[in-house]
Amino acid sequence: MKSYMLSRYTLFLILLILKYSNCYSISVRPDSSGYVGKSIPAEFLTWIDDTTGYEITQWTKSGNNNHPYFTVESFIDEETVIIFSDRTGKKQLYKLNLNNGEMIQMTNAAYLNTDGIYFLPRLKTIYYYDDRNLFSLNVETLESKFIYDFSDFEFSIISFSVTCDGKFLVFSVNKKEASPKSPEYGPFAIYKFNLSDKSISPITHDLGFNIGHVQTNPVNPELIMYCWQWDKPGRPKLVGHSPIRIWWVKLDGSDGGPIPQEYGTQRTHETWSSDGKLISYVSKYRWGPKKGEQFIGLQSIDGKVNQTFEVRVSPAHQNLFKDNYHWIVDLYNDQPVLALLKRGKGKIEEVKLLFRHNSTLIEQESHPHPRISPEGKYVLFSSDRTGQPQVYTIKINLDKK
Amino acid sequence: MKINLLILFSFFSGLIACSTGSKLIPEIEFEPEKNYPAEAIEKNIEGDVQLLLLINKEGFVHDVKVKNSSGHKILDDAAIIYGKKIKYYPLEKVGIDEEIWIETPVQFRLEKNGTENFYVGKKWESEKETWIDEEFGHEITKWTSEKYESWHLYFNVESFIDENNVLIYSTRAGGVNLFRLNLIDGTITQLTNHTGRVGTVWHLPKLHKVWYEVDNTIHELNYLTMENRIVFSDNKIDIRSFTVTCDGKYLLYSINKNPGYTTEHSTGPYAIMRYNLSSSEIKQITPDYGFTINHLQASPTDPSIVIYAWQHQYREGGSGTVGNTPIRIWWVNVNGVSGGPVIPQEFGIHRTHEFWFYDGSRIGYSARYMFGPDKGKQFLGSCKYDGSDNFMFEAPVGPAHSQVFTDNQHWVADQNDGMILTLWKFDRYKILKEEKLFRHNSTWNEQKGHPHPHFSPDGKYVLFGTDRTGKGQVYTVRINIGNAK
Repeated sequence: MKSYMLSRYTLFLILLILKYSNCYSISVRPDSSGYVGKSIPAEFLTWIDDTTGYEITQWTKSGNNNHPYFTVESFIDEETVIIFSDRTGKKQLYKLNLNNGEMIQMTNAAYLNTDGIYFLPRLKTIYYYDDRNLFSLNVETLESKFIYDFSDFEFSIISFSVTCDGKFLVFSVNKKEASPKSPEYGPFAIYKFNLSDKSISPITHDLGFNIGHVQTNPVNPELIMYCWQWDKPGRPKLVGHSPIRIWWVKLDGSDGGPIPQEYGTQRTHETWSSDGKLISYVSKYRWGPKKGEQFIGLQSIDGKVNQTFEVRVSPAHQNLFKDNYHWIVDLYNDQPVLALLKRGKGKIEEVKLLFRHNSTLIEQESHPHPRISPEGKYVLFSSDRTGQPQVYTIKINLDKK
Repeated sequence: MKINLLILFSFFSGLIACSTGSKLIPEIEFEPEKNYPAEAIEKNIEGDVQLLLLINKEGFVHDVKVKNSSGHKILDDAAIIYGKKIKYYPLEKVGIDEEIWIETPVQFRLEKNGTENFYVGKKWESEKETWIDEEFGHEITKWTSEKYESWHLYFNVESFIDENNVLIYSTRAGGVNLFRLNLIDGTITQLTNHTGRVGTVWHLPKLHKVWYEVDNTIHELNYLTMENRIVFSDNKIDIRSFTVTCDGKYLLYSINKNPGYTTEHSTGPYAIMRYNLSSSEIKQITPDYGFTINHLQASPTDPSIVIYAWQHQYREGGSGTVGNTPIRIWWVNVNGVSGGPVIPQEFGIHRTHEFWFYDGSRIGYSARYMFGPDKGKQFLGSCKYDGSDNFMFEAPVGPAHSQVFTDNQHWVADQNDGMILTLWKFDRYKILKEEKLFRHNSTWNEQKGHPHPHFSPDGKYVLFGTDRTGKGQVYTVRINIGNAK
């Protein structure tokens, strides 16, 4: 595929027609930095880690590369992952083949919002924003479809995900930002956007706390989890910890509430288990006689399951394997290492150190955000250990056990 | 010689310069609480501070500088804190479209009271008027004179000393002081003698004591012996709310650790502190939280339990986060090792004005759905402090202040149909009887004009306040539910 060189007037007319036809491929944009479908040759490097003995592969080398946030599925299938790369000058989405290292450019966005993409593996669809325009991307055909222009939507979107049936985009908003003119901010609320009829409606009332990490359930399209994001000092905001981190709400706004947590703890980095039945998180006591103790936990919405496993992993990003027994974490004993945990009854039975990732943790792009592949062959992570964020895997072969 | 001090804290502002050079005066939208530092009062320090305030177009004060010092840092600092909290109307109201500096004098004066002599124990003769209300037929008594402002304690603090005596605030002795109103003969007896304004009060009738705040200092008063002592003072902290455990052992107060709010710095976190009234030991009993903590209320029967509120802000013009709280009521053990939200709370509902039942068995509240299919529905409800056994009955009471009688069968609220003081006999979810008591017509402008109803311990009266005649005054309506049983 070659890039198109169009006059600005012609481009304007085409975009106008396509905008009102409600569907167009972004590949028609003038492209001086790559194009959808462009193949990037492999640039991977594989070695055996001297300390742990695990096989490590660094898959990327050119530019800055990282995979999606740890709450979003990065694996298209067992051997293909979604990554961001700015190798062509702009951040774009690519799919990386873990068999041969080839990368295929999937977007050619003018301003890809790297803070938020969402992927529904069953529908083979990525949802992403190009500036304020929402697109869906079929990871097989690489067709991007324009869905909606949020430019006229009055509030800023903080976090979003898409229901597992692909019917609704669910997102949190801050209805008023703090500014030099007025230091008050909020309220916050969660809305849903109907991907078919393009209607927008609230599913919570206006709340007085920062709503982040909106996560639709991977199995139940009616169930959404979100977090009370605490604010840190140094900004014109109300700072302090949230006593209850994790909340839930039904898509129709008829019910919801907090997930109770232990007094004095700070939970963070929550995710759904792949069967949608449990919420996995890390936690530490910031207060009280257990101050300093850390654990990883599993809890169900109805409270019937509430298990904690003492292990020093807070505030790691964590990902729970589909067996609901293995976790990958990117912080262990306060060390920047990737560790594979296995739980037994009421305790962690096994900890395998996989790799010292040595991320600076300065930017989200450099955070490891580990994900276990669907069948357990790999752990995918990112790190800026070499100076720039790059994408890596560790072969763990849980699939062979 | 005892000196009665009157704190004059005058404030006025004039525009010194703007882009057009015209003389314009921005109008104050919100004037903050004035604080004459206790240390300055104690040392008899007076002075004038000339401030420069930078006001943005929206009327917020963004910067404060001292142009001319009073010569006393303590007064300069107090003036700066005061200046930062002032809110002006948007400058466009006076035709200004850019931020401006204005010059403002702040005066600190300590003067002797007028010629009248006030003292603890001074007695005022009865000022009461009694009539039968034409609309609902109940006997109403107005106990206090229009010459002064008078009001009773906040609805979640016991106002009754016993069946016949009530604690009230009044301006009749200069400043705001505490008085005892006798419901037999109508006499009013002075209990405190401060030139400042007595603020928050906590009352434990069994111990015959009240704890009250004045000039950033908390006093303990035994109203039988009239012994009055300062129990706590710390000018460096911003106390939001306080309570005392029912055994009189601990003072618990909530603070904002980083008060003030500008574009240059954050505000919060908030926490609850425990002060041992015997040993003076201070201990924090909650983590640092990112929400406004207010309405601390110690259990009336269990000295280990305190409830508090996540105070939401939903009005423009505030500071920090605006928005509803999904869980209003929280609890903490005074040992600081356990606590949490009083849940479940119905999704989309907004609870407010929580209070303990007299026997400490339950927490009552008013509630209304702000969201969802039941939006607009209003209730009075209660649950145990662990959130269990919650029940509500529907009544159009909005965010009413309310109270449940000692029999746990009668509920009084001040906002039925917006303005009617109403008594319900209830059985969990069911209303057995509704009795409208009085159309109080409060303006709701200030706390001292709010009804804040209280049952007398014998069920003879409901005590309430209203500013229906222009100033806050103290009233009762006779109900006789104690005798009626």
